[in-house]
Amino acid sequence: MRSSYSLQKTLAIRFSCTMFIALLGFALWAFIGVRQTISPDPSIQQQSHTPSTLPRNSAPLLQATRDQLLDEVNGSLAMRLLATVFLGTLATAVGAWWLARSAVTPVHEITAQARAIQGDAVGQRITAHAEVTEFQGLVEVLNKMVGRLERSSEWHRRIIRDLGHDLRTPVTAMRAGVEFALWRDRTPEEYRRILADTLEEIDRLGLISDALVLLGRLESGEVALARVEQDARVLARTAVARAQEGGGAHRIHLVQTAQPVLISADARLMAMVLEQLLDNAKRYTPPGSRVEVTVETEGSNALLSVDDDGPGVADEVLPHLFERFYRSDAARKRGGGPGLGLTATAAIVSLHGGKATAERRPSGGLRIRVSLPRVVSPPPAPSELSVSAAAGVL
Amino acid sequence: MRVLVIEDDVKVGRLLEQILREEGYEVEWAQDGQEAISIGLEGHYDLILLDYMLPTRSGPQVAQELRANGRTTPILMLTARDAPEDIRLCLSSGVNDYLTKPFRFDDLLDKIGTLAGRVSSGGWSA
Repeated sequence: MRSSYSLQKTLAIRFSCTMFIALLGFALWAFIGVRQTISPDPSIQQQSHTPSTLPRNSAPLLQATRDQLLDEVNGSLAMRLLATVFLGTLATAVGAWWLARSAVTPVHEITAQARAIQGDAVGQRITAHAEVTEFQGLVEVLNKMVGRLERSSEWHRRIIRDLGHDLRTPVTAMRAGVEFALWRDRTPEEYRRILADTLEEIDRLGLISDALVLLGRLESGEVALARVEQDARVLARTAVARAQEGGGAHRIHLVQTAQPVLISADARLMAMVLEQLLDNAKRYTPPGSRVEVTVETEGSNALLSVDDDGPGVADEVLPHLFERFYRSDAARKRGGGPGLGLTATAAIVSLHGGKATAERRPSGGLRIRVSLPRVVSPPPAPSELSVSAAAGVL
Repeated sequence: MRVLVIEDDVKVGRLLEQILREEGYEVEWAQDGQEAISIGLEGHYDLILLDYMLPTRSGPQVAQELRANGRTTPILMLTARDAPEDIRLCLSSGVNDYLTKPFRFDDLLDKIGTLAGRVSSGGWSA
């Protein structure tokens, strides 16, 4: 990992170094140019500029004077150019520091605002420099991230709160039952009833823990699918038969296609999905309601739907049905699982490459649709066709 | 003393009914919010035990309806929801006190006794 460094300092140093080299180069170029101008070729100088009126022996003296003057001019020029280089570099360093500072200050301010946003503060967003073109993208990304964190935090708070409520319901019944048993001597029938009730509540707690464990395993990818090619109609038939065996006054019907609807699925998990959907339909509809399971094809997908003619759910509830622990207050009070069933259902279906959706039926009631990729059998080879036809299958 | 228990959980409702009867209260039990409003408005009760989450009408809605119709009967809310906003909603709906689930029968009977005591001493005004 790279050690941290100051962008402002780095920018200032790099810009100053660049300017120093540029100024030095310019000074050298200027120095050489000026020097060539003031000390021309000696041979040309000898022929054209030596005054004929001067005595012949005065030439060396004149040359010495000129050389001395040239040396003085050169020295002075070099000093001035060097001073220009160093002063220019110093001025550049100050300017570069100021420029770099103005470039990175917005980053510091954006960071400060981001740091000031606390987990509990709802709706806080970064506003610093959001109008600057270069920072708009950064501020937007950070604000979106804050929004996601905010929603996630709120979601966790709600889960913990709702799980607490869900656990309190069976615990209240169990505590009241045991306390009632201990309040005074009871008849054997009363004890039996209390124990049976307590057992039911323990099962309810078991459902909550099972659903939590399954969901955790599904979401962490610990569940390995034992995919087998199978007919979705058989799965639906088995689930409907089980639901009918489970008793209750609901009328459960199966509507299916004449042809097999092949899917590649884990039979155990898909049975859980159908069981959950039927259980929900029975739980949230009045006794005597009609529940219909449909198996059909839709393009390249197999479609399993569970329709009920109950009161349905409000439009604002529909998008949340597959969220963990989501249950409307009314649903929550009607007992049963902790609101994890449909979430686990959606997770299992998603693991199979499918999708679970919920919609209101036009005639009222709720429809849950499970769409899964269908296994399309390759068309039989011509030789097989002729054999089958000969055997009277076709 | 007549107590109206409004609780949709069959097990809890039945146990409350029995334990209160054993303690000498005359008890009536309703399982639905709308039904509870009708019973509460028609009958005369000395105390109402009201669950928070009920089918059709919530506990606070039931309390509001009873108060809006001039019923001053003391109401004790039984609630699994004890977040500050839930408690505020409880108390603002007209209930006199609340008890968080799961509760001990001793605590429940103490609360009932306190509310009943205020009623009998005339120190209660809803």
